[in-house]
Amino acid sequence: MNKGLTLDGVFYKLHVSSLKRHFQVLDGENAERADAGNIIRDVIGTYYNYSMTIENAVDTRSDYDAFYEEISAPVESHILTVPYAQGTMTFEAYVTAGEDNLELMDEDGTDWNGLTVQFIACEPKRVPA
Amino acid sequence: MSITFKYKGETFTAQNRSQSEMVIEKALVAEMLSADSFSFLLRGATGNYEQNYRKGDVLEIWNGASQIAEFFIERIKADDANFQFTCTSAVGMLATVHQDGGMLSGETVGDVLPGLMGNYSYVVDPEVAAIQLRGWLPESDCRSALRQICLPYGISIMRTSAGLPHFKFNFPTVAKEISRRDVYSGLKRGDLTPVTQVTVLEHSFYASNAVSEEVLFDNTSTAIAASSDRISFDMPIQATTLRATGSLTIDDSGVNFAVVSGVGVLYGKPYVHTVRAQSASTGVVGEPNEMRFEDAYLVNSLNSYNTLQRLASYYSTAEELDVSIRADGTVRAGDLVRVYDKYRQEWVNGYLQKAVVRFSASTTRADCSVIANWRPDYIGNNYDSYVVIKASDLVGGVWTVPAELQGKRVQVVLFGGLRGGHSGGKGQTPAPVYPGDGTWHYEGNAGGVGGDGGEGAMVYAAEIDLTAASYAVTIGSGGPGGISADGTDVAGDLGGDTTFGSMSSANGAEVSNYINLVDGTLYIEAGDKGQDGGKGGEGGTVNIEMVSYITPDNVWDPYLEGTWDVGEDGEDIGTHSGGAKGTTGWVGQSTGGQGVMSHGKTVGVTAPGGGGGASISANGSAGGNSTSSYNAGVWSYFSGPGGNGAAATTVPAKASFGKCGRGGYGGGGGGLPGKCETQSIEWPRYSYNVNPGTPGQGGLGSQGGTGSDGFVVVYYKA
Repeated sequence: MNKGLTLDGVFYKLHVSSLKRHFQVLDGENAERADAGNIIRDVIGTYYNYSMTIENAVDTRSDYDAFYEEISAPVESHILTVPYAQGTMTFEAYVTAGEDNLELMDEDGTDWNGLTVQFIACEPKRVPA
Repeated sequence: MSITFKYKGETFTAQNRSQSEMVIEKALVAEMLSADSFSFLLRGATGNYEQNYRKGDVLEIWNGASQIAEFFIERIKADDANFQFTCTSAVGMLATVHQDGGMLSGETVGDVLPGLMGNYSYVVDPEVAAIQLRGWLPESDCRSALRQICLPYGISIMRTSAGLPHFKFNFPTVAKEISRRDVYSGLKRGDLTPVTQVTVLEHSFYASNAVSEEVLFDNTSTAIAASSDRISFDMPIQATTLRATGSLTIDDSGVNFAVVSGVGVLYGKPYVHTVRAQSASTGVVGEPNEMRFEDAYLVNSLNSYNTLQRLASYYSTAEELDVSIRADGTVRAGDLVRVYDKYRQEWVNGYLQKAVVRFSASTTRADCSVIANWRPDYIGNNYDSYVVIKASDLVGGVWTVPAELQGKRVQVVLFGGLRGGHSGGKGQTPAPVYPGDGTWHYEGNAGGVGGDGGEGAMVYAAEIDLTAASYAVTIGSGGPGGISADGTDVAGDLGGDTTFGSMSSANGAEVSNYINLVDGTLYIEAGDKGQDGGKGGEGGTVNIEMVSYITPDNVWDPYLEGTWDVGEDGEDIGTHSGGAKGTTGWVGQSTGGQGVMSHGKTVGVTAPGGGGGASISANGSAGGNSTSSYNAGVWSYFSGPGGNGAAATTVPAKASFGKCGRGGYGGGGGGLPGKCETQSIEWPRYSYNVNPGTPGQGGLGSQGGTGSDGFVVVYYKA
């Protein structure tokens, strides 16, 4: 299996050094504290979000740059495929920010490294029955 | 809970909609008629919703597998891929549907609702459907008409579990407790405007011929022809009195409108509209603030008390609580809910008057106005039964209150003796007529026209508590009919006063056509018209013709030939006969019988007279034969006189209960005298001295009949 990740249908040969997943059970506008002190939930659904760190290498420099351009494009969302449970999950997510570091700049090129990005799910993966 | 919206086969879920807001409202005492509304934003959709919708398209709200509301599209606006849906309830849709209105005289709510609700589905409880409506329904939109019907009786338009309009009386009696865990923080006192007094106008309408005509439309000044133009009246008009002048035609009409074409003036007589204001203090202390209900034209004497008390009760004690709750899908205006008042630290019951419902992801929030400290009451009619008190019900001038009425609030209506009938008309006495050709003759032998029936009685109404065991009552005698000594029309008189305790019909007003509001019985019915007298008979006729003879020596020799014929008997009335016609005429120079011809150069003819008309009381007099007389060397010849019409001396029987006196009977018409004529064709001309006989005298009409005695109607709630 190739190492890397698929974004918007394009496979990027990248080394993902860290991948974290987060979930959120979000409420709608009708959630509020009740008279008795309890919370009245207005569950919209469960959102699965991912954050990752990507390490660069000499042989991945071009994919790293291409990925950077794609991930920072001024578009509303991306389609991302990530590991989930014992398989993968493809979902629509949006990115609002990312950062990496300049590690080396010489006659062979420029090495950017340590790109961190957080993917936030556009819609809940699971909704109340 | 999964709330979905269904529209034209599509289902909108929480995933593709937002800003969903449903406003449901119920005017608890029917003082107004609210229309529920619903709006939401459909997000990220494809399609041409804004182009393909039709106003009135159905949109349903479902809670899982159950429909909980039905709305109708008012408009859909597009904003890129988002569509703003705005909907209203069936009642809201009716605001743009026209209805003609009319004068309701016992039609039931069940009869009227189909015409107002059109194709919109609804449910009506049997006790509501059975209500009889009496009064004016103005021309308006159907929603306004529903308010006219609901207010007087306190009819509620609630919703079925499927969200259909449900016309009913009864509010829920079992409160649905709202757990404090389902109440969003905060419970506020509402801001019901303090009302210190409530006033309700009670209306009554009746038709009367005595009303003057009104000009309802006039396009004669512009002469611009109307072409099926609809004319709306600002008052109810007796439809049978509509008439048009000129080329104006009435293509269609009702109590509130007419459709006309052409040029002219449209006239009609309005209904007599009387108003009685009833007020009640709410007991609220503060600056005077009167709530008036003036234009509810179906508020009448049967329901005005309940209407007033219902409104006054609401404005005197009701408290408004504003509370937001987590609602299930069945929240409905009019529901009885039980909420905790944390300021008073007590549970209170209240009726949900209004709710702004926001459907979100999985929880529905309803911001509610709850009316507490008020109990729905005074619905339907204040009275549903009645008793009539006649003279025969009194013992020594006293009426004993029946057990089922004792202590009750009742409406007492006093009817004075009913008016008597008009005098009967005098039969015609023939009078000379000069056509201008040198001849003259008599005309006018019609029988007297029967007098018009009487109309009206004094009526006084009051609401009292029957606290006494008995009351002194006097019943006014019926009014006598009119008497005429010369044939002029004389109206009958009103009857005597009817009294009940200290109340008297004399303190009321003269009214015609009073309708018993419980069962529609007509009181003070106009009396019948009297019977006409018999027509006087026509006089006998004469005829003179010129005939020619050719002599043996071939000379033309003209002669006149005269004949006469008998006239008519007077007209019979009932068992009485018209006067017999005369039988003998005269032809000069020789006198012959009927049809006998005489000829000569000069001929005179007279015919016998017609008989007088009969009346309901007597036979008419016989017509006379031709006569002659000789005086100072001159013979005079007279046609037969007409017989006199019989006078009507019979007074119509006293009117039956609740009816005015019958008009008097007409006298018989006078018979016409026989015709007479003379001609000559020789020189010097000679003519007979022929003259018409005297005409028969028309008989006088009789006195009008006596009206019914007065009576008392006591309305009560069984």
